[in-house]
Amino acid sequence: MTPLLYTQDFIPCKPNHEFNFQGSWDIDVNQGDRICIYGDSGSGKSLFLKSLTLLYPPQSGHVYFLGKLVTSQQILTYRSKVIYLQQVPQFGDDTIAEEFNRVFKYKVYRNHQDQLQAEAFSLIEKIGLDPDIFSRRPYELSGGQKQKVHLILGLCLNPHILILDEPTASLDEKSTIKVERLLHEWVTSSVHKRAYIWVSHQASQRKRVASKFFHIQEGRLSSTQEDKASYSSVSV
Amino acid sequence: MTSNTNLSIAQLSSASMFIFINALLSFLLKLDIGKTLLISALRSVVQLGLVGVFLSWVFTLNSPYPTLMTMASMSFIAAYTAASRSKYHYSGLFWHSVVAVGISSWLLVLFPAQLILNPTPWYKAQYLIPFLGMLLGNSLNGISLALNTATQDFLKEKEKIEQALSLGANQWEAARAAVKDAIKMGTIPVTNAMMIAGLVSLPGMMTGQILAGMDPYEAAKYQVFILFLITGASFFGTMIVVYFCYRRCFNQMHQFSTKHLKKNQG
Repeated sequence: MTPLLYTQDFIPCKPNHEFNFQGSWDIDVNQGDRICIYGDSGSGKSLFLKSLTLLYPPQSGHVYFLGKLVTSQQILTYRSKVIYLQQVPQFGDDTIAEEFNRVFKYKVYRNHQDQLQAEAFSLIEKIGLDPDIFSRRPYELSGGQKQKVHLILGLCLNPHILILDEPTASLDEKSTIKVERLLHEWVTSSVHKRAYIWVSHQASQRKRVASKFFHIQEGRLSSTQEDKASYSSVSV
Repeated sequence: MTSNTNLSIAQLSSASMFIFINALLSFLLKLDIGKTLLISALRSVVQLGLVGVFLSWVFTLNSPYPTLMTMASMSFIAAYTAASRSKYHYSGLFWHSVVAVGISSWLLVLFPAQLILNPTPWYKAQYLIPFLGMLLGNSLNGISLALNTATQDFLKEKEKIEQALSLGANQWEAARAAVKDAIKMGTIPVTNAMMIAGLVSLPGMMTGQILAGMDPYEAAKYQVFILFLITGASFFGTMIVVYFCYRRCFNQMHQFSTKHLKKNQG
């Protein structure tokens, strides 16, 4: 089976620090993969992930998605199918519905706007938010609510791969477990080809949410082994 | 009442009295603007004096090359001023400014002015030079405001723009809010000028014509004509420069970067 995404000779965008990235930064993402990435703050996690989604130009190498090299022709489709969700979502002062609609009007989604809206409504209940959050404005929401809303936005765009930068950083324990379950359910869908890459600082969470682990340290990306705990064994 | 067409040096220096009074006030109150006030007043005297002498010379030559050369250098100075007023600059900014200032002002000076005012000969310096100056001044103003807003917005909204891109936006969809904001900022002065034209004060040109004895109704028609051209030039110039500035922040992979933006010294 060809991976959903793989890279060749990949070195992420150059960091602003003195150190540079070394060794192999290549990564394969297969269908159903639950990948966790961890490393100290400033080690280059975000830079790596933003380079992987080609938001930043990698220093070298190529990214292949669904078996094809991603070039400027496919870049927008690629980014709509491999969605990177920032840790701190950026919102203006429009209502959540307007924020969502602005994204749904992007050219890449233009033909299925209604479908996306319906999807957003069903997801918002699944995550445990009141649907009238759509008529509220970002500054009225807590950090946790914003993060959930942002996650819903990413999910309803129906990507193949979700890249989550500490998606539960502002959530309480209960909400965290809920989000973990939702994403687990999302990724193990048998109908869709899906995978996620999750950045987490918590060892306990990593064990719950991932089956593959990568550690970023001193400019290197290394695959590590962590004890795998099956999701169902987690008690709240 | 004496005729105001020729101002004597004595009359002129009596006006300078107010500058000195204000400068004195500033020194007494330690406002720290007295020196700047005096320097700028002196500069205006020297600059306008030189320009007056120079223009009299160009007018008497009355041939196309000196006129066009004068217009070209005015445009470069305007472009330079517009570019240097921005808080952030980047390499190539000056040329972007030249194109924006140049296209917007020359287009309106050469077409409407030639077609409607129909000066003879076509290069008549008395028409072209003051006309271009007026358009350049307004275009420059809009361009520098828009550039300042655009560069600052692109830096400030970096995260928002990156987020939009990460959700599948193309470069235009990602930068639209900042672009819109910058164009709006650049064109506020001219739209405001039209909005309040005549209510608060009479525009400079109209005042001049009325003082020189023209019928106010005729002067008003002239003024509207000028306002429209000024607005046209300012909008064109603003849009052109913001477009360049925006394109410079993206590459063909729809990647956004502000690394080229450097803070202006001083």
